[in-house]
Amino acid sequence: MDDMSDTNAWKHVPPSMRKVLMLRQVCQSAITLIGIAVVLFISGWYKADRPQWVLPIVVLLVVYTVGDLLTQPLQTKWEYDFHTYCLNENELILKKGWLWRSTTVIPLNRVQNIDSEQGPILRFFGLTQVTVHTAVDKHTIDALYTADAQEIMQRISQRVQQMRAMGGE
Amino acid sequence: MSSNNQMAVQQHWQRLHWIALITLLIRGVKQLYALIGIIVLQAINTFDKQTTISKLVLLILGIITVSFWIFQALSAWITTQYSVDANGISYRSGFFNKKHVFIPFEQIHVIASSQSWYCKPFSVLTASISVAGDDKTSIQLLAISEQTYQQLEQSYHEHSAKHKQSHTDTATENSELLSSQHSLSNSLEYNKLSTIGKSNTNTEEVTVIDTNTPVREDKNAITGGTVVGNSTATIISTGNNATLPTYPSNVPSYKNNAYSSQIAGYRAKISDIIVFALTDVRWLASVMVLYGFYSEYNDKVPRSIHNWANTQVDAAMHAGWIIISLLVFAVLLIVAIASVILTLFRFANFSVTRNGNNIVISRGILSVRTVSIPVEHIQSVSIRTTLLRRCLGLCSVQLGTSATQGVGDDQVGNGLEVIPVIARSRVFNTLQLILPEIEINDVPVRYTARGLYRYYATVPVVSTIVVSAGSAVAIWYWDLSAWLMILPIFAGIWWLAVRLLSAYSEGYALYGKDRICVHGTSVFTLYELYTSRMRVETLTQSAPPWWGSKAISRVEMQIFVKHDISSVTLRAMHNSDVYALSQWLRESVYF
Repeated sequence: MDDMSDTNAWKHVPPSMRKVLMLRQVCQSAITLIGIAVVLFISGWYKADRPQWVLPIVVLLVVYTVGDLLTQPLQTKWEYDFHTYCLNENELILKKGWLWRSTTVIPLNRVQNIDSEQGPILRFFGLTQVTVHTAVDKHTIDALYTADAQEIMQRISQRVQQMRAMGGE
Repeated sequence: MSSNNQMAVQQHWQRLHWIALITLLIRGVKQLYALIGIIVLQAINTFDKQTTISKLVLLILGIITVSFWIFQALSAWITTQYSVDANGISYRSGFFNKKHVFIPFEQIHVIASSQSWYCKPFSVLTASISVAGDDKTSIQLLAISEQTYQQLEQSYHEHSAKHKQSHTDTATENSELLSSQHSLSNSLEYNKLSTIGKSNTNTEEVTVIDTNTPVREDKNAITGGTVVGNSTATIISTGNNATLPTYPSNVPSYKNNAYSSQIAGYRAKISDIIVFALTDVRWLASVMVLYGFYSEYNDKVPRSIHNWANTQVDAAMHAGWIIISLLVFAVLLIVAIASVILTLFRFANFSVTRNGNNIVISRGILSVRTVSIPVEHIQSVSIRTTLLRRCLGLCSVQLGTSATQGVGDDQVGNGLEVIPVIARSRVFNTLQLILPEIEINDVPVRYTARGLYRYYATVPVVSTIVVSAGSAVAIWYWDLSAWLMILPIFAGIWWLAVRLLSAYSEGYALYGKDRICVHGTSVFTLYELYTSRMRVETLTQSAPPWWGSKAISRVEMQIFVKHDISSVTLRAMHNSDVYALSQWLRESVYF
């Protein structure tokens, strides 16, 4: 993955992002397990004549959800270690993913607009998510300290304006 | 936090007019109508049969729904604020999930307004500010005063004018740097020439067609250009370093072609349309659809007809293989004829012409439908072929545009079909004639995945083995028919074939000043996508850790195309190719 990384100043997202990832996974797993329990109850799990397909599907879902939850500390570590970003004069580069890892180059002259979002969990930890939109897709820095988020948004928008003013492609 | 405070000081946030609350409440009703309807219907239908507890539950549900409806509208109104400054529009909203959007004036694609009847007395309207290509980031200001809207529009137009001026200035400066000696005798002629190509000669003749002269109809795709009319203009270039678009050396020059306000580029012949219909595999799928339709509604068919049909089929089945084969052949023939007739209607009088700065597609027998696409809206061109058409040396051409064009029948799949079917040997000359700006040529392609077949085959093979094993267990456990094993195996073979075709076909070519051609597949359709660097928005390299040691990655490029192919994936390539592509993309910011 070094081929696109010949730039400097790679920055990590704040360490509290690890707690956010863990908390999100716990909430997600809890919701999934409650959902499974509700579906089981509605479908008459306690009845003797329950459909035969219920057992294997439930087992698969529970194994996947619990497995996902148990491996979350490892996933979080890998994801946090790899989730970095680099903002230089001409481009924003994002590295994300825990198993399938991706590196995305976003030339700043392709940026359409930037927005920030702060859900309840991120707000609790004083973090903000920044999303950079191009004409066709969007790319997210999952968490930054709110002040850093404001600063990075300002830097990107200023640079984009400079580039627009200079013309070019 | 200092920057935060600074931003807060600079911006004057304004809240929407209170009439926005009415709009939000109306929208809330539209969103919740299904839920409200269910509760009301349930309450009415079963009122007498319900116990007190059920009625209480319904009442609580009703109160929660109404409270949610009012809270949603109120919170949206309270938290939504906007600010217009010298650079653009800021917008923030959200109670739990806060959202902050800033759109610079230069990025605004469209500003539109609408006014509901209840907003008129207050001189308030709804403004929609959209950015190109991305609907999700568009802003809608539900109720702002007409005066604010006018100011907004004025600022936008001022910025647009300034932006265009700065671009012109930059282009002029670059032009002066590159070619200080270059001059043209006539600006009008310069514009015409600039859409054609680089001038390497001191004197160049361009035949200009008198638009009043009837165009000679060339029934075939034109390979050499159609010269119509007799007025001639001479363009004199005093230097060899003209700053007009350059082309790769192996691109056949079309500078001697007639370029005019109207060029007949392609006209579909009857034989073309028939070949298109017969090589369109979708007509085979229609047989399945017909059968499915019959299976679904056979109980609606009168019993006598149903019995008669069954008797005939049974009789045919017992008559031997020849009769069965003839029967199948007859069914296929009927469907093929139906497909040809429908396609003939669809592409009757189909023609593509270049008219000034527009590509004009027209078709139809009784009523002629015409779609005019400004060339500046064309973002990409894709040449596609199915395996069947490839064997016959045929292909079709689609355009990717930046805005909605040619909706309805003119769109095939996701793209805008400009040439339904054409011989591959003719396609490049035809496209160079009608779309010289896109610089389409049969460039040599670097096939990036040949030799990396295992990266394409591993997932389908492993998945097929796992699913087949699971299916075998399920068949044994539930005592199902062993024939069901065919399904995962067939799906696996299909998937593997698709992946291997991708591995054989995927590749790219960087050519010209800023052009890229990407070869890829979509199931069993092969495509060649031609676009420019500016249309490639982002490049993503990805790989699992175990690919890293082999220096192999997957690459995905997002392309600014509203229709047609908007994302290109090359599933496995060497990192040296990734580097070449990323460097090529990065060059766009150095000017």
